[in-house]
Amino acid sequence: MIVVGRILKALLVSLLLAASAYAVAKLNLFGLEGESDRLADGVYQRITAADYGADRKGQRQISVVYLDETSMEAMKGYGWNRFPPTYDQQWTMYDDVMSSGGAPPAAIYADYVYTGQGGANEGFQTFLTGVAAATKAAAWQGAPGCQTDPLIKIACIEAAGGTPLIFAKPSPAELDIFTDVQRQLDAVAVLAPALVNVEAYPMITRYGFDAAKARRLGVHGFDVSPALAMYAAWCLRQADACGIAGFARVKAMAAGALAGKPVTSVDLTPTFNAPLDVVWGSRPDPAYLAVTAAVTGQPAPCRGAASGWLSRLGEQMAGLRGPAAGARQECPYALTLGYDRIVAGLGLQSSDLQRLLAGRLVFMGGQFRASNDWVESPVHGQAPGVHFHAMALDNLIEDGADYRRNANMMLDSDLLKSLLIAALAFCGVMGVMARNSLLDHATLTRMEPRLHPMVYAPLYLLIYGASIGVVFLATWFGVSFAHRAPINWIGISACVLGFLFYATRETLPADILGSIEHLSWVKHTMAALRLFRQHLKFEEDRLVTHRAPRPIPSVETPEAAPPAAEGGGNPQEAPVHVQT
Amino acid sequence: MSRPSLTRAALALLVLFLVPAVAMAAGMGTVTKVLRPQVHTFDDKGQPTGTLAAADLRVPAPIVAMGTGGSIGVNHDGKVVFLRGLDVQTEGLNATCKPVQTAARSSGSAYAATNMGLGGPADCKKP
Repeated sequence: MIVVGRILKALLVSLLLAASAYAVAKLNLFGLEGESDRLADGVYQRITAADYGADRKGQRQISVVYLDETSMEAMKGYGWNRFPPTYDQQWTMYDDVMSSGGAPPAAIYADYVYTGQGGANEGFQTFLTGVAAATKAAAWQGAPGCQTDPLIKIACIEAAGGTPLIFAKPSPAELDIFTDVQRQLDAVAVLAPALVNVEAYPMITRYGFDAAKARRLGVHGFDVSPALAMYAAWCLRQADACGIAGFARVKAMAAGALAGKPVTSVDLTPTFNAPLDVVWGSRPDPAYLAVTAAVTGQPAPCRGAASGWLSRLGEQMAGLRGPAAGARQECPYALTLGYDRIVAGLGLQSSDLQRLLAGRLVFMGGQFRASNDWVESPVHGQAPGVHFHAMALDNLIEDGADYRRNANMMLDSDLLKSLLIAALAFCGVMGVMARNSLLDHATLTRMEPRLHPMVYAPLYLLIYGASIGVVFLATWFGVSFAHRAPINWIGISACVLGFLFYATRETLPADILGSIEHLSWVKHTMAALRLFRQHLKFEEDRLVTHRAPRPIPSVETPEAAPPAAEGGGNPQEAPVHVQT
Repeated sequence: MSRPSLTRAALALLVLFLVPAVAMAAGMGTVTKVLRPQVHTFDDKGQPTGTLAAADLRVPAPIVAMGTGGSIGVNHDGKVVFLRGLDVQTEGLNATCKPVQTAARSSGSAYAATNMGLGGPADCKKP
């Protein structure tokens, strides 16, 4: 009965702790919980970044072509003397990307939002004609079936022999405007909502608009994120459609849709049922290193690819932590090249352009220092937004439908964390109770109010080691097998360790001291500590006396009397017996 | 004593001028092939000056100048026209590229943009 009572007591304590942790998590006071989640995810990613994408499956498919301030300055040599460049100049850029590799890319995502509201649309007709030719719009834009949803539209473009061109648009959920330029672009290409300030990368977005509003805002059934649109474009070219039944059905319907037959939208929500937790890799594309060396004449100025998780773990424990610090900056994960470099061609060979563009999934975007299109990468530090999309696509190519899902968006992860804390706290309390029982047993059988190191050392090691081990195991299991974002392992570890330190705050020092108190240096240290405590006690009394003088100063109270330290009383007379 | 011929002196003078010019031009590289049927041309400041048919440009053509943003200047019809490197195949051009990107990056900077690409031709200096 006593044992049952103790277990119930331990259960109660652990549940109380878990309830407190749950309440703190839900309150998210000062945003600490959210920040703690992000920190745990970031540190985990920094430690494991070198292990991502060992087969380079995604890396072999993805390229990034960017424009930045330096590019714009260099492009002045080619008539780009205004910002933004004219539409026909921009079409020249797309045309270069389409044709310079010897074969067109598999698909292009342009992370530029064209709304046509910045002034005269100089050269827009050239731009539109060029895009229509690239996507073979004449073959599919008259077929109503091809407008059913963005995925079928991509399938129609590919079935017609075109290259899917996907342009960014503002999310219809955030901006109730669909301009004429966007509408004209939508008729010859695919539009995907650009993501602004998202914590997790969305897959499929359904807005719930009525038919009239959806038509007004250019929404065809639903929207797909840029990475999913590019992934679909890639999968629809594969014989097995990446093993995703929905893509296979879309692919099969494309010919009928092109022929004018009506088609029904394929629901891919069960496959892409949660946002993606973008995993950032750190091993740079060998092609990137080669092209960098060719163009600049020296190796890429970034961290080596060979640092594994052990050295990264050590680094995170040391003072040199943090993303993208100084000489330890990471290279971009994908093969990346400035458009001006392509145009100037310094150091580039045809084979480099082929490797960069031919049959690739090409992301085009800006990385202007003055813009706000930057994301916080746990591995790279500040990274241009276009790399966020490229990395998300890389995750999809690497993991397919088993991509890492953002747990916070799927279930009450706070509840999961609290349950883990409860379980660990329960084990901790049971461990302390076991220690107390062993001490009782030692006192009764050996008349010795202390535990032998051979008894308490394994016990404490088990309590602490098992707690940390379980947290790490749960994190690893969740990421590797359940394909979820890492749990807040830092917060949970801190919570559990804090509780264990509290629970053993008297037993652990007492047990250790009990087994070494016979050593002379320990005796001296203990005497010094007692003196120190006595001094502190005196100071405390003096402060208290100053603030609240006692009514009868002549009376010696027990607190004011010198402690028994000088008498040399045995501090281990009574066994320290604490139950949490 | 015969007087030196004026024609021979003029020829020697011409050689004296031409040899360094050709040597200098050869040092900047050569355009060996035009990759597109028609290429855009620019002046040294980057203003578009029209297009040029590939057949109209004699190759190999020595590169006589580098324009803004790394455009390639070749002689055509007695004047220098600037072409995009993307439109032509060259030889011996990349040797002049000296990156300054690393030196330009501040130490300890957490600004990943410096690695997010290769910079531009402005990063290249001629030796």
